[in-house]
Amino acid sequence: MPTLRPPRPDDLDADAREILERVAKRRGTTIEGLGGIWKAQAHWPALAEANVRESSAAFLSGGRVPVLTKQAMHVAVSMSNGCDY
Amino acid sequence: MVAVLRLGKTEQAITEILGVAEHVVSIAAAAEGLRLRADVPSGPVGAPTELVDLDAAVPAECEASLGQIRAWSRERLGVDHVPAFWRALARKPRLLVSVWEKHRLVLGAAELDEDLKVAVALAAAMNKHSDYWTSYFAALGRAGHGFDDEIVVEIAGAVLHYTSFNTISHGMMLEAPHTEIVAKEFAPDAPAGTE
Repeated sequence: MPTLRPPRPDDLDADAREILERVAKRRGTTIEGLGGIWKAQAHWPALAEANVRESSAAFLSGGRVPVLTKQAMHVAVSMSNGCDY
Repeated sequence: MVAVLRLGKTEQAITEILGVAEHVVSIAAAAEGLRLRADVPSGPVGAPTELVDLDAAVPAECEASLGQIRAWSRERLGVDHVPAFWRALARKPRLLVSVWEKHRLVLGAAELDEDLKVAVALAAAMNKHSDYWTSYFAALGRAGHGFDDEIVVEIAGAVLHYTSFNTISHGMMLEAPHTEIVAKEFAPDAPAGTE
């Protein structure tokens, strides 16, 4: 059970909705289809926006480390941090 | 995990990543426990540890393994010494052999290649704050896997981001979006609607 219930789509304020729609579009889905990791940040849109930028810089395109290697590192770090999600 | 499967990898690939992660976590704990200072690519000033005597004569049954490690270190790490971690384990010959063999197994190419595994090992070492293994795997990557400063920082950036998101998922106690995952359901050519 999550600590905080994420905002329902109808309850999102304009900033949070714009950020989540941008993330969803990037992932080829809708706000409803986004994982809890993004929705959980919607109570404070400024944090979500900061993490969108960090995610883009640290994880997505533009780097020289192949995408498969990055995803494998994500799995390894999450496993060693005991992350169920 | 699902993202790896969507790139066409199988359950074995996920288990190979697990193998690198659990191995690095365990050797990082041992290196810290032995209070080892980084000695790859270059040694510390003074002894790598005060906890055990790395210059003492090694048991005869270790000599073959240490010879193999010395040759491997020269070829793959570009150093002329046996790294302190392996010299320390030589106090217990069966431990040295079993850990070295596992080290070669988990970092060797199988479904996933060595370049990927060295990057994963470096990320795992960074994540566990292991000075010893961060230096070791960065040197290994630089010596034979195309790492340079930009790649090392890119890997650190990935660790930064994953740690951030792991903390969010822990802090908010998010439920895992997938359980009892089967690779073929997430393969690139999986029929729509199988998730």
